[in-house]
Amino acid sequence: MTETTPVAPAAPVAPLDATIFSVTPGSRMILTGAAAAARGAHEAGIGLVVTYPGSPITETFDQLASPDNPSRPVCHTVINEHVAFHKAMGFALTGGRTLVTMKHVGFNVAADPAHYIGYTGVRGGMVILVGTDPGATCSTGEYDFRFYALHTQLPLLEPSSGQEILDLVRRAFAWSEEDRLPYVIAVPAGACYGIEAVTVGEVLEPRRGEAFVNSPDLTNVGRRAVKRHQDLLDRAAEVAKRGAHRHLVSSFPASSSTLIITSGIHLSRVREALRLLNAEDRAGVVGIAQTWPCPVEALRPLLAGIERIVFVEDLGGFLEISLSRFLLSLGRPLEIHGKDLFPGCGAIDLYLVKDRLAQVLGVAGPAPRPDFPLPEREGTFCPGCPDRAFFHTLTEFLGPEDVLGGDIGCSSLPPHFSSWLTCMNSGTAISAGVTLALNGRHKVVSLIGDSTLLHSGLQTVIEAAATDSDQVCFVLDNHWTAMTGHQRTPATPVDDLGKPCTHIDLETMLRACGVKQLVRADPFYLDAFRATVRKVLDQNGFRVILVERECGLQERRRPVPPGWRSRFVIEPERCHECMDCYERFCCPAIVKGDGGKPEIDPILCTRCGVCAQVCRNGAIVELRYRQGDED
Amino acid sequence: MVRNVIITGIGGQGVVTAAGLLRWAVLASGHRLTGYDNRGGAQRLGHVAAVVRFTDQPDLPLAPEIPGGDCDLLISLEASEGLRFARTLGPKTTVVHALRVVVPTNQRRARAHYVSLDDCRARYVSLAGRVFSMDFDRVASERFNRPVLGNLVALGAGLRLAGLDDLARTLETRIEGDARQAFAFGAACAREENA
Repeated sequence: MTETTPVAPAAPVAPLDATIFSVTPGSRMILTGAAAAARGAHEAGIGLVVTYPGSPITETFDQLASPDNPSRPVCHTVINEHVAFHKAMGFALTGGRTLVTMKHVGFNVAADPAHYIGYTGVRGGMVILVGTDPGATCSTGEYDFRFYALHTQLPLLEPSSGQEILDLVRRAFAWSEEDRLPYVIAVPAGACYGIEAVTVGEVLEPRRGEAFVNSPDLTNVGRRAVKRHQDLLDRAAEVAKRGAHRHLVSSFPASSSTLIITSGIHLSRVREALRLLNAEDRAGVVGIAQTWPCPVEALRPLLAGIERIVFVEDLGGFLEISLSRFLLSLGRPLEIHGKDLFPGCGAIDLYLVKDRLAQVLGVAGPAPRPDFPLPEREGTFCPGCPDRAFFHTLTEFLGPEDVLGGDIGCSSLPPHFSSWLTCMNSGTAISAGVTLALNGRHKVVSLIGDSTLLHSGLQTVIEAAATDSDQVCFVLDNHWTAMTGHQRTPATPVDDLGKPCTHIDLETMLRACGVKQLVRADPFYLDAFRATVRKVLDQNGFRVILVERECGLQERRRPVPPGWRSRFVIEPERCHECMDCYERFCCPAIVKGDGGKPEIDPILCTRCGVCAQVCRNGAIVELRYRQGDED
Repeated sequence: MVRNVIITGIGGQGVVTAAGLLRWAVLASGHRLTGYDNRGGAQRLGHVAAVVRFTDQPDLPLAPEIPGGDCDLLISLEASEGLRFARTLGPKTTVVHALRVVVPTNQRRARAHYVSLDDCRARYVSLAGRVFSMDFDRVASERFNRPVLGNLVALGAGLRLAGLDDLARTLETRIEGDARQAFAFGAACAREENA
């Protein structure tokens, strides 16, 4: 194979260890899409960034909240997206520039204030960055988030590359101030985790807000709300016109009567697919970055001579539907394709785009490449996770007709066996309805994580306590919002170094919410935990077991003081090869040795000791040694 | 020119680290790059992958995914994970794979069959133009007392075998100590293979 031919770089390359703050303006650096968004916000001079963490967009906040950020914006991880949105809105009303980030399902929680901010408007630039998830790679649902724009009327941008993510985030703050509306930027998981080289720009001074100005526009009821709604529609029409001059529509013409219309990261897929099919002359391509309100006046001249339009997009076909009225207004027959070619569910990729374009353009499609049906590799509880010990014990008490309401978070990883998993707080909330119907015929238990309890679970607990809902609610308190990167909550009892700090005591809070039957338990002590669960299951009414044990990863990150250590080993002479530890308990740190017997991998093992309690044959033993005597 | 590289494995093997070094070398060599990472599997032993696509043509459109049969180099730090990208493999592909198969926990629980090392090797040989394998973890553990440096042994071998020597030279200027030695060791193993 020949060597690659380098081209002299057009701009200096940032050092390998550069951060988004240390890099020199004008340099190129490699960033994920989520990090590029952070850089764009940094360049725009944000004064506040607020979030509720959620994959795939978590990294944006984490970058901006770095202690290395010289601009020192206020950075808050907030209890849920509804509060996050409101906090951002308040800051924007004072003239400060603010970024709020969340995932698409989190926007459902923020949807209430998102529907009114178009009426009130903003003074300082506000950007709402939403990480969407076509294909549900890290979510329980994949709805087409863009349809929110049809009723919020908030401008919606879909960047097509890492560079465009950075540029549009940066520019959106000024546009937001000009249009007096927050801008929504949708970045799918494929773009959040996409990695490209971007060129960074100059950084503005942070805009931290000046003063709150009273305005009648902030109070809208009845006829006034209707009037503000009309004002919003008028402003949206203006934003569409301005979009035509903001270079938010890119075109790649061809001498053809077919035009492919797409948005976001599909633009590169469409263009490469045409190149691979040798069909670049068979269809022009338009990429729309402002998908709502669409700058149709920039689109109009591109439609001259076009007889066939192909929409390439995920999920619900937002562009195909939202542009239908405009296309009808052209007053001539058009052949339109979109959701007849591309599925309404799942993420589309280069392979599907190439296959469908070949079909519609009548060119030879790609020869199928042999694939290999490798079984999926599920993620699982980390070594040392308290949820593994918890579920291992719970399996002893629940039969196939008993009900276990599941919740979003670490407890949703395999090998959980929840009866359902829908959204935050679904465990206890749905269980309240189920138990009413079952009326004690089967056990009903539910899970809620400590973070979810604070996110949206308290209302459910108050209701369940007030009505004495007949269920056992396990509050799984690992002290952190662990699934998304160990963000703190107001109930986190220790700091990053493990030192106690001021926090909300969950038992106190739950009792204040009306919970009368509450016990605290540690899942790592299997016999005691088993006894607690047995006793509580035999009771009636609304019962809470506060299952407390810190996330093993967080514990492991702290320096270990010198002294005695332990490790766990499986003694081969005692091992009966029942494989319970390997197959049923299923800790990743227990592996099969060369002889087929289970062994403990000392690198992965966190020394939690639970496996030693699981083994019925006493084959897993603890060895104590002094630091330095490991061998 | 377009080159396509995949580095894959399970969590904790240094997939993302190795890909980060490769991407930097690509950028420093003056190429335009794209691609993506599948992350989040680190602690949970799920699937992790990094796709790196690069070109010397500034305006050539590149999707995040690698077209069928177009992968130049696949490095699989766990023997089976590379098979998830089977359709990207073709006659021009060099496959560099580890010798350890880690059975997914879901397969363990189900007591279901999972591919063996021989299965993996046979499939790579049938799909790719060239296949090289080594116990990267063990080699890194024995030579450097750090099994995680297996990722750099594999990267050094892979870049050499795939003819991406200029990237290897660029990368070597930026890594030091054991990391550099691990990378160089991999490259040396590849030279022996080529000889």
